[in-house]
Amino acid sequence: MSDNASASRRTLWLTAPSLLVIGVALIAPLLLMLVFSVWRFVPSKITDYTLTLGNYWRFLGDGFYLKVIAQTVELGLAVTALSLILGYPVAYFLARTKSRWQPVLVYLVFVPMMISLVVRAYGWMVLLGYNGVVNSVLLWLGVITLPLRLLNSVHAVVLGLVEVLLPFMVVPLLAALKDIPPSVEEAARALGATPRQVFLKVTLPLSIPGMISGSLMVFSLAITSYALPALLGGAQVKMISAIAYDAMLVSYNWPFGSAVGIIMVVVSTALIYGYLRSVPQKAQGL
Amino acid sequence: MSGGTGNRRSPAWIGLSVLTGLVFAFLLAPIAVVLIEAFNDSELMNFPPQGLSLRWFQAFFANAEFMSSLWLSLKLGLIAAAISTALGAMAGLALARSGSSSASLQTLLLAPLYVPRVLVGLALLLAFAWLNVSGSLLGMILGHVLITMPYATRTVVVGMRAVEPSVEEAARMLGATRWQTFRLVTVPIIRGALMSGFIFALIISFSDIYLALFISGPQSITLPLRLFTFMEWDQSPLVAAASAVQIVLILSVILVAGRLFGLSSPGSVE
Repeated sequence: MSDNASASRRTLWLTAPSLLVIGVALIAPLLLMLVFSVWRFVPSKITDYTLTLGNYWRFLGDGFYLKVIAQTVELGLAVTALSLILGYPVAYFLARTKSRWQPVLVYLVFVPMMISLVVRAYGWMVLLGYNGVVNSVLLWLGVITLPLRLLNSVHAVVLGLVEVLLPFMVVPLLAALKDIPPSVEEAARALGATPRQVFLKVTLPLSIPGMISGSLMVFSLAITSYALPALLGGAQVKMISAIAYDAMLVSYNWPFGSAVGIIMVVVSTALIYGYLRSVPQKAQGL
Repeated sequence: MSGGTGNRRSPAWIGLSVLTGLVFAFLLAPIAVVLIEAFNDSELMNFPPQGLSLRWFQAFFANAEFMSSLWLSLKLGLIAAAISTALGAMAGLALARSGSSSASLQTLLLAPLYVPRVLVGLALLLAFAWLNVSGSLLGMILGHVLITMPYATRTVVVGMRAVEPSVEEAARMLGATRWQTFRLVTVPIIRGALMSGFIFALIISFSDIYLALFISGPQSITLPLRLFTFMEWDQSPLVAAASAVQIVLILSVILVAGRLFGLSSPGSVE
């Protein structure tokens, strides 16, 4: 009994500094945000501490903001769908290949994640710019006679986000596919299923949990992105994060910015909760 | 033995391999073109480069603003990673030894990974502004410790799986104190995990843009933020050179650390 008590006291002491940082730098600021979100905005002095739900109604009831919400969700769905389409073959290949390069390839999926978003956004500018790679190739091939305007568009943002978020799709998919015992697929083949049937009737259904968790994570990260849309979307793309950023740093309407932030917290918490519930054990914590 | 798509030489498998190669090209293309563009001799961004030169690297290293940001980012990264590794390692040790009852504790300790970075930035911005301490370097360090700590926690939890409790018990029975056991038995086994945690924390801090966008002040403009604001009006190859320096720095850190300590998987959120 006393052993147990000393073990839990040790756990407490060892985790206390981390918990303190999380409490001070994450939980307390989020609670402050919650409080600010129900205070009334007064220009020049920020708030007069009157309670109101007006900040929420303003965001959820105004045509302009509803359009922003719709564009954000639409973009998130497009990014998620594309990530799934591009990520599935990669995860399947990595799960089934017998190549000795497999660990290197898995590592290569992660490498871009360690390079700053800003650097990769610039990479997309070089790829999609007026004098960029894509336009040069298309001109050289004679497909077009004048360079296309590819940057500052929804498409540029979607491409950039897919590139940035793809690893978050591949990881749970890879874990789900590796969790399928080879004997299951062998049994299906032994019973006369064609490779196509094995894939469609056995492998694909068994990998659904991985598809769900990867999609939830990618969607959650896509709809809360700010930096990449700001650099690649220009004035064409207005996302929810940009509304919160502008409210906080441009118009100093902290209550409204807080309300938008709290809505994002609620939505992303629900998505991440779903992710943690569905993610395959091997990818847990990844 | 054959996988789900049948024979290694089957058309389906070859198609899959080609598709995988294309997706890898897509993943790595933005990084590859930046490395090439950095050697462009031209005034403006264009591709393929019009002649090769090192002038943009010279311009980058001669630019006082970029240099002060580079040093700031390195300093911030080293400080944040050192604190994170210490705190994360303690938490990781506790988690690894507290059994299955700690699932919710683990979720709480890893929470900074799951909260989208933009919300961490927004919340800290509000808190610092409310307390009237906006734009301080100390605030940036706190924010960076918050977002990098879970990486150290996680690598140590994973690393501790390699430590047999019986080994530690043996040391204790032979008369070692708890601290001696930790220092002489546990630490050498999890040294790789500690280093991995430190390196990932350093890299995450060094490449962060969200906290920089929300909570940095005029005295704490990190390299990614300097690039971000610069890029909005100037996309000359100077940006490519600045980016290439960051890519080379990070890749060499990964390669060297991987050689020395065998980095574990860097899987991460954001």
